[in-house]
Amino acid sequence: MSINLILADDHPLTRAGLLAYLSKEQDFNVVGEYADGEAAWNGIKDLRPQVALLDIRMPGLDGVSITRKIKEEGLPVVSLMLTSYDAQQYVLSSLRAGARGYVLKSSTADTLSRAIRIVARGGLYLDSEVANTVEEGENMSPEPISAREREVLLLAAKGFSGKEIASQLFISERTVQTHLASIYDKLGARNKTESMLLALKYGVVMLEELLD
Amino acid sequence: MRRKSRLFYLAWSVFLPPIVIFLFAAIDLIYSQQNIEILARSYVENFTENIAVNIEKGGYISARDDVLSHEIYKWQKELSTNFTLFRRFPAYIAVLDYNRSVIYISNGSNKLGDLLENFGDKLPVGMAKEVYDSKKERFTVTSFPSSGGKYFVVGAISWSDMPGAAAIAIYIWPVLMAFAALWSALSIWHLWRSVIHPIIRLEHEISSVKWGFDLMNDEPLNAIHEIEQMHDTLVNVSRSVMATQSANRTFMNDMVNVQEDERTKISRDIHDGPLQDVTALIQRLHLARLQGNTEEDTARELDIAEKIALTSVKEMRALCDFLNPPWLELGLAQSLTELTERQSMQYGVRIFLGVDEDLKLPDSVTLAFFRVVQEAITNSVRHGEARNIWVDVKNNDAGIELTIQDDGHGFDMHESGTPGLRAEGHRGLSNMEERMILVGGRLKIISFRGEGTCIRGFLP
Repeated sequence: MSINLILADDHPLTRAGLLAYLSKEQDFNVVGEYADGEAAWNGIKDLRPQVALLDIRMPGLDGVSITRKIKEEGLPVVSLMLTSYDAQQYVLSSLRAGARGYVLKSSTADTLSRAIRIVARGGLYLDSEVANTVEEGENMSPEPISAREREVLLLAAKGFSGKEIASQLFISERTVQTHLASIYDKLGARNKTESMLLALKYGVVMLEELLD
Repeated sequence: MRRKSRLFYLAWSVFLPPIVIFLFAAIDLIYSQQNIEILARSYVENFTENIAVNIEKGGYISARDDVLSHEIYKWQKELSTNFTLFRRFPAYIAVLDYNRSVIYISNGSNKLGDLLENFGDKLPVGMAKEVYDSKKERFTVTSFPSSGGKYFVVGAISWSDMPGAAAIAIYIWPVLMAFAALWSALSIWHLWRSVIHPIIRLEHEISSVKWGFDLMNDEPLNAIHEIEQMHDTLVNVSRSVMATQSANRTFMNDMVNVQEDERTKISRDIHDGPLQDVTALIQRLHLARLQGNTEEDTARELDIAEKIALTSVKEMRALCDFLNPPWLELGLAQSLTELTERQSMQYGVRIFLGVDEDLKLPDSVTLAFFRVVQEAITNSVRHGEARNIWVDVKNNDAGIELTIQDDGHGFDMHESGTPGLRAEGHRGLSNMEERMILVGGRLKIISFRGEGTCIRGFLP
């Protein structure tokens, strides 16, 4: 079964390169390519592709805004972010907007294809350069985290501060810090954002849990 | 605090001496009033007693009236010479018999007659007393019995008849003192109100004002002219300090904003240019290495990769040139030629350059002119969508004139000139103006919607 795609990137050379990647796969069917956000949004509305490959920064509408519009209008289109930025905050805001994945433009053709197939199936794909992991295969599982740690992680992911988490869970702020440190250790993360991205990647928390 | 208390002490050292003097003068006045009273009493007691003794000794009562009055006159004269203050001390004498009926009364003594009627039986004996008659006139009165109680001698002096120095001491001196006291109180109050209090207020104002942020209160202080003048000057100083500070803040703000804008622009240029190129290059290298490629495929991908690398080099060179043009050192004519040719190609517009070949200018002026032309052409193309641009640099006797004219669609000048444009976020034009001002020149922008834009710089 082939996958219908659209590609939106304002830079002609990288767009050409990405198209060349996509053309190598028999089951990928690129139905539209766009150089700006407005055109891409119109294309998505008209063509209803399964997957939209969107550059985060584009003239007109940016990728995150298009993703948000897709979610608001309830279109059956999965968006996968393409970017040159590896800033984790961008990843987070795209995921909050409803994106199902995040791929760096400099990644290999194989990586891009795998990401497209995963999100088309309804999965979540996060680039390994974004969430710092050693590639140990898809089913590498981290040390399990406790229910309390999971609660702390979810609240932190929703943007609550240490103090707010402490008051919500009736524990001290120090305990919150201890929980977070333990979570970082178990997931191999260096900060809050990364621990959350890794938790998503390993399936410790579901994207839907973060969004509500 | 220390300076304020010194003013306080200074004011007190001015106010205190008059207050002390008035206080002592008042005490002295009361004492001298009392002394006069004591003198008057002893005088009355003395002469009354003497007359009583003489009557007893000489049996004057059988004598004629004039003998008695001569005796009284003699005493009166003798006593008054002892007290210069009472030179013409008006004394009255009456002699009463045991029935208290008057058998002798001195000349013009109807006043004493009144007094005697008022007293009846309660005449003071021996010790003199101050009394008032029915007309509220003040007297010092005493009486002495004579000849074993057969007679009574009554002596009195009237205060209201007291002339000259005594009257001054008693009545005018207190009035004068009160007047002087009132006058100096008024002067002190005035001094306080129009000198000392305004100075204190001014000092308070100066120490509480936040220079550069607050204006001083310009309400008049109701003080003397010199202090008002000083106050006005300080108000003006505070105003100009505030203006200077605010200009400084605007300037610093602009500097920071320009720096940030530049960084943002450079970062964006690198992201949109070299970064994307290198990304595309990596993609091509990935493609070239794909399994199942024919040799032709690989060669084609490497070809594309090389082209992308060349494009990237060109873009980075353009970026470097834009950031710091190396040809600036060739002089204004060559710099502008290079700039206009590049911009003409880049934007696809026609640029007509007229510049004096052997114009020699300091580096700072060359840079200023170069940046103004660069910004002006970019604006003409980006905002005015001009097709033709004329750049002219003329050297005449008055100075160097730079003109950039375009056939774009122009804009309506903001009423307040470049500051207004700056306020709306268009710093480009005001930056051009500042560049010219920094090298000692000026800049004028003339534009009307639909009629193109003319930018004219002048350096004397």
